Amino acid sequence: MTPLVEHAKNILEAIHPMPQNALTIQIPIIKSKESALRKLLAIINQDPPDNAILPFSVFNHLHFARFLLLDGPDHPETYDTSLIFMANVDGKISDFIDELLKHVSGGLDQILCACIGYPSKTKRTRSSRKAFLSSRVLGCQAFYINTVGRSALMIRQEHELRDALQLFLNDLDSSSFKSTRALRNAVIEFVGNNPEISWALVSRAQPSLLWRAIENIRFAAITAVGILILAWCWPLLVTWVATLRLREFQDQEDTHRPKLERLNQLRASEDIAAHNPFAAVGYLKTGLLRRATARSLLVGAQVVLRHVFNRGDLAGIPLLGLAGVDTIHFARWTMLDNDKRLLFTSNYDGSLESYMVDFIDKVAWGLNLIFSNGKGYPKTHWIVHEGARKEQRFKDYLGNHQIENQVWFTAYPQLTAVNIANNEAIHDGLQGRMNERQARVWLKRL
Amino acid sequence: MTSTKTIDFNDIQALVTRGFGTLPSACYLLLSIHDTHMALPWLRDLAGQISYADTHPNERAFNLAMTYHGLAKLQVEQSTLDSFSDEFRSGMNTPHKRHILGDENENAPEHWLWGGPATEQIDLLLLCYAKDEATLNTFTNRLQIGMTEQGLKLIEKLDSEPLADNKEHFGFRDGIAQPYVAEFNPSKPNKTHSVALGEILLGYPNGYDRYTQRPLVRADQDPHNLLTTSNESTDLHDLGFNGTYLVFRQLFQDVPAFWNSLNKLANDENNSSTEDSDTSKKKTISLAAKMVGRWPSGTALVQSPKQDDPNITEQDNFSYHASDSGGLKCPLGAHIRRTNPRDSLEPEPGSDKSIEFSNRHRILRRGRAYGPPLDPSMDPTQFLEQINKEKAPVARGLHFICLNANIGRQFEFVQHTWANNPNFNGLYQDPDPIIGARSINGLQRDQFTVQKCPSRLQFDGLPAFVQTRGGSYFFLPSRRALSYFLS
Repeated sequence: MTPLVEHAKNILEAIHPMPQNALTIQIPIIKSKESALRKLLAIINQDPPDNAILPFSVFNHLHFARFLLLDGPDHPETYDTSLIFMANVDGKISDFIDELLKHVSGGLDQILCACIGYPSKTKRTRSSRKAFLSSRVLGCQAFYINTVGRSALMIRQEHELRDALQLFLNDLDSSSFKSTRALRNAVIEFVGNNPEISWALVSRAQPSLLWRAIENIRFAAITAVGILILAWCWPLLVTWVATLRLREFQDQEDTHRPKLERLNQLRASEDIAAHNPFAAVGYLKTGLLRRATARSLLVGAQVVLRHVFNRGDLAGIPLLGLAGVDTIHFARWTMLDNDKRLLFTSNYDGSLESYMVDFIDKVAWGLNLIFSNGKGYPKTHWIVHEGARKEQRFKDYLGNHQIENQVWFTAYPQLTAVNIANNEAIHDGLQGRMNERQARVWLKRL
Repeated sequence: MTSTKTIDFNDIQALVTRGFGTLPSACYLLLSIHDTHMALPWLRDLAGQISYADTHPNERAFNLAMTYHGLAKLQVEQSTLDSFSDEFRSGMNTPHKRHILGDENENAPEHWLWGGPATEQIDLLLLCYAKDEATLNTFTNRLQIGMTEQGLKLIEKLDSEPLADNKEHFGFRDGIAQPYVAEFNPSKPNKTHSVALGEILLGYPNGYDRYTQRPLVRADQDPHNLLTTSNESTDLHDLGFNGTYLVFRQLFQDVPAFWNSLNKLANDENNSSTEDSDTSKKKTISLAAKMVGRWPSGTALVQSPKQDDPNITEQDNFSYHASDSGGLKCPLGAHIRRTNPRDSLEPEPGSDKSIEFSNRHRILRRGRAYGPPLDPSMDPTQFLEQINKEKAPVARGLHFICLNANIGRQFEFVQHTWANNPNFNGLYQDPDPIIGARSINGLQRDQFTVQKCPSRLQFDGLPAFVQTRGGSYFFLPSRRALSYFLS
């Protein structure tokens, strides 16, 4: 990105910040230090929240974090493995980097001294570290946030609220209330009398009106540009799609199954919480056309993810009868190596099997749009059809491209996205008036 | 879809199409092969006695399945072995499988009676059925004669026990909602929502209208053309065709603990002492029914929420969404609502899409109970009378057997994503109250929630009533595949 564009982006970001952001840092590592680094990361991963090196639980604004070790692109004779750190944070990326340096700079030193270019011991200051990290930040091309504006702190507080209400209800003889509203009032009274949770009677911090207005203007402007492009360039777009359709005939799909040992190794670190981290990396199909397709689709995806699918239901379009997925907390698509490779990472609920099944059953079209630009992806038909619907080929493709998370942290391991949304609705329901029917619907959530 | 006419039932082992309800006596022999060359003639002879799906055995029936290890012992080529499914090749004991299946702590394979690391490797499973005990004994005795001289060893003989009214040991009718496969029921072709044949048998289109991963061999590996050509390529012969995977788990059921715990949970209010014992028993049975999702007679709670109604004959004929989306009749976490959610889950609960989704996670159950019942009547009211009669734990439970073409998407998915998952369907800390693991990801998860108006009832500290005592994944080959293995 040219400095000018970057500068403009920074100013925009300062005026109109996104509440949650995705941090990616990629740093090449020193070959001789790789094995020590692996060991160190393994130690951190034994207890991600509270280990001595990098205790993630100190960060209040952190949802998820992970370390990956990524082999360099295809030239085995040269070593260029890199360390990737990813975090989903509330607030600005640079603020989170400051937090990292404030709380765990010693631990960071231990990890990053395995990386090329990290300041030597004598030159390590907060600003030299920050300069190093900031210069290695990678932007992502598309970022999915389950619910825009929902902070990690609020998720944890609302969970505590629900727990407290559970205990209250367990000790209550609900049949002694003559109406559901009366029962709700008792719940509200309990919350009000309990200093630990009485914050819940105040309504949730919402993005400001101005913020939402700018979002809407942004979306309207982008849509207008989109319509203009469609109106003026449709012959080009039709040709583009037709060319892609022709290319589909020549596309080679990967037919080899992932090695069982590899799969079992990947599985060994999965299913330790209500959700799982997923990471996969693959090459894009060669050629300018595919590169341009991938880039433009990611741009489109980013707009849609930010402005349309921002309330917990990814890719659900009821008008078209398309069911969405409500099990993904965050997901992001990051181009690597000058657009040679695409890294996909997400945090999703349940097992990998159920995640893949969701992909295949519900949002295969969306996956096909983006991932059909990947080398070896199951053959698509008119870009959106087939592809992921080829169950076995698709599962094999994922197995061949999935990579291990060396470290993974979650701030709320026992909660699914559905739980979190329910907790939020419990909180919201403490405010305002309700009739008998509304009170009944609200109490069902408890 | 393949039409019924083209299905060669003579190639399919009979267990796929029938549960041998008319042959109430059954036992399972677990064998290891010590000397393949000595064993082969015996096995070929044995293969000749297998019952296939085109017959209706009324004296006795016999089926044969093998583990991955068993196939290796039969000297199946490595490339062929590699083409079996990942789950079958990995087995049930990997660290990850233990974790997702709930086989940790007291359920850990180290404690298993068979199939674990502490017991001998299993190669073969012989499934024997007969019209009565005498016939069964004659048959199995004959099988066992000379087994050791033929290079085989009997590791375990697992007996079964027919229980009154098709019940399982807790006292509930079992085996009601089997997946409906249109091709197996040509006489009732009108039923909608058939489970795709490829979900139950390999070599047919599955629920995605694709072929499930299955073993294929190159034409030159099958010089005598014992196998059929695969539908995808003429150079490949289909070793999986008309075969399927068989999941076997021995599940111990602690019947006194089950009824004792439920008795306490259902009657722990202060007024319990003033209640007469009939009312208290009714409450206990009603709570048990909430956990199962059915009354002891098998009638579903959705069909009759307030009390058992044994007069309902179509016990499989109901759905959840329209009549009970909130779980007020049948709790959201009840056993049958988790293991077969019908139309209750996304996408679009209540729609055909939702049923199609559930239909891609079905298993064909073929298990049998083992061990003496707490009371031969199998009536929970009687159980509650005799709750303390046994001084020591009695070995009883279920020899759980199920058939599925994709162990990962079917059996394991049901056990992990639906039964063991404490966050299933919007819940927080509720495992399947009957079969779910009580500890998951290092956290205790032992709640059961009964949705009610205005406010739910919650039960905490549900002990485990079921324990895994053994288990293994098997392959149930077709007639052709078996002759290929034994050639």
